[in-house]
Amino acid sequence: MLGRKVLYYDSDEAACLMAQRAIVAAGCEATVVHDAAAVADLDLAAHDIVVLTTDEAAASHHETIFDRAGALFPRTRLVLHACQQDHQCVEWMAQRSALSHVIAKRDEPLDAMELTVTIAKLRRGDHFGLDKYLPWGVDTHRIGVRDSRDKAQYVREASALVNRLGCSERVVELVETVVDELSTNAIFNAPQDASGRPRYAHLSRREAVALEEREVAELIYAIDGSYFAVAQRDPFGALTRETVVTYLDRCLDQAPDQQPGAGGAGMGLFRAYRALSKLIFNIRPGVMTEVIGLIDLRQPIKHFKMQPKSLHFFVEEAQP
Amino acid sequence: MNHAGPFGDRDVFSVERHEAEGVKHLRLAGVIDEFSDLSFLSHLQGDVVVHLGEVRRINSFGVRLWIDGVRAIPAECNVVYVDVPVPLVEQMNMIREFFGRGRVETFLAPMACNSCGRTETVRYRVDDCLRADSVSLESRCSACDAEMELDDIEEQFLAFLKDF
Repeated sequence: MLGRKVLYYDSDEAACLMAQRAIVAAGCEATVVHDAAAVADLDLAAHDIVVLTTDEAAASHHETIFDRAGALFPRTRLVLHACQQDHQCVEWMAQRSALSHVIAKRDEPLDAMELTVTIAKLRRGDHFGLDKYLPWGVDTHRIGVRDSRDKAQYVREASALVNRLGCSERVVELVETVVDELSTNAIFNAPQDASGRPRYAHLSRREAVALEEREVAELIYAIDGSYFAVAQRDPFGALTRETVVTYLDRCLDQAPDQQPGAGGAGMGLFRAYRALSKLIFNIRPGVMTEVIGLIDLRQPIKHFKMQPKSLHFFVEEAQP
Repeated sequence: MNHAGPFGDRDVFSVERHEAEGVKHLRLAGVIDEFSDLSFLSHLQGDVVVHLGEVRRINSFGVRLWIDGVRAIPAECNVVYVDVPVPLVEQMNMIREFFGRGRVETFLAPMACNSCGRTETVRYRVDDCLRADSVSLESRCSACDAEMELDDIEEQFLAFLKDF
């Protein structure tokens, strides 16, 4: 569990006000700073979480703050409130293992709910659960992911919910893409044998794979009117932050037809990432992985594509 | 759960064939994924028009199968792709060789009405786009006749035109 002291920097005063409230709402104490140079001079070690808005005013201080906060990891966690396009943020993540949280700065000065949830999850160490991203009362749907031959059924059930909302065909396609790729990942990539070796990753995705009871994953999805939210939880905890960041960084760099590997795990993950507004990985190493994705339903596709994406890794310490 | 086959009705990948005036026409529909049989591509001969307007989606493994299939089309075969749907336009923009040696004649673009918010898919000819001084897709809303605009980032969605 982390302490309660949160440092937030943004040159935008409206964002600072929202951040102060969001931080207090998460049960923390907020130090809010408008001046990027002042952040670079502050004692970061006195804070448990440092949230840095990567705006133009802070550009010349990025590296210094990344380095100083990175040196304090894991005692102090760094969260970016990012104005940049996705590639830049993923590149930063690839270069710095201490950076695991990017909250995208979209139209609003700040996504206050995402900041509250991120801080609360970090502070409490309570990472898992789609419910953290949904208002109370929203109906969630659950499917056991058991068999590769049933994947289309999983996709169909999730897309039926979006269809009932009257979403456009393109939004339906985004949802289907995410569920398709996450289900494939749960069936072929996640399962491991007792010695930690992948069980089905070497198989062609055309092969019929029926998971054993201990391997069954769970797909949970819901809509709150603003977001389609989906979580895929597998009982292995084999996915690592490094694997995901490497895949995304490489895919953002080059064309998908140049990706190696028989099954295309990296490409599937990349396609899911592209289809989402927010992508969150909750990992309890060796025990459980939960991949959460949210698609903002409120925007035209054009707008959706222009917006940066949030990306988070909440990794629990391995149990002895 | 009974394994009801990999697809729902509108997701079933299918290929319909017919011939008109010496030209073979193939009409593809559904979702291109790991279960899609694209082996017919390696057997194509002569002039072939491939209609893609009813392809709803393609997944990551479908992209691999498609690229392999297109690469296997015999060199002497003259393939024209028509009504390339939005999901395949997006792939074409990411993967230069997505349609191999084939020629894209028409594509479908997602248009949104500025007035009533209706979205429609509108067909455009590649040649018309290439002839224009500056490419800007135009159409009128079928519901309120207001101007519609591309519901995508224009320079990304139309990036494939640079390769023609």
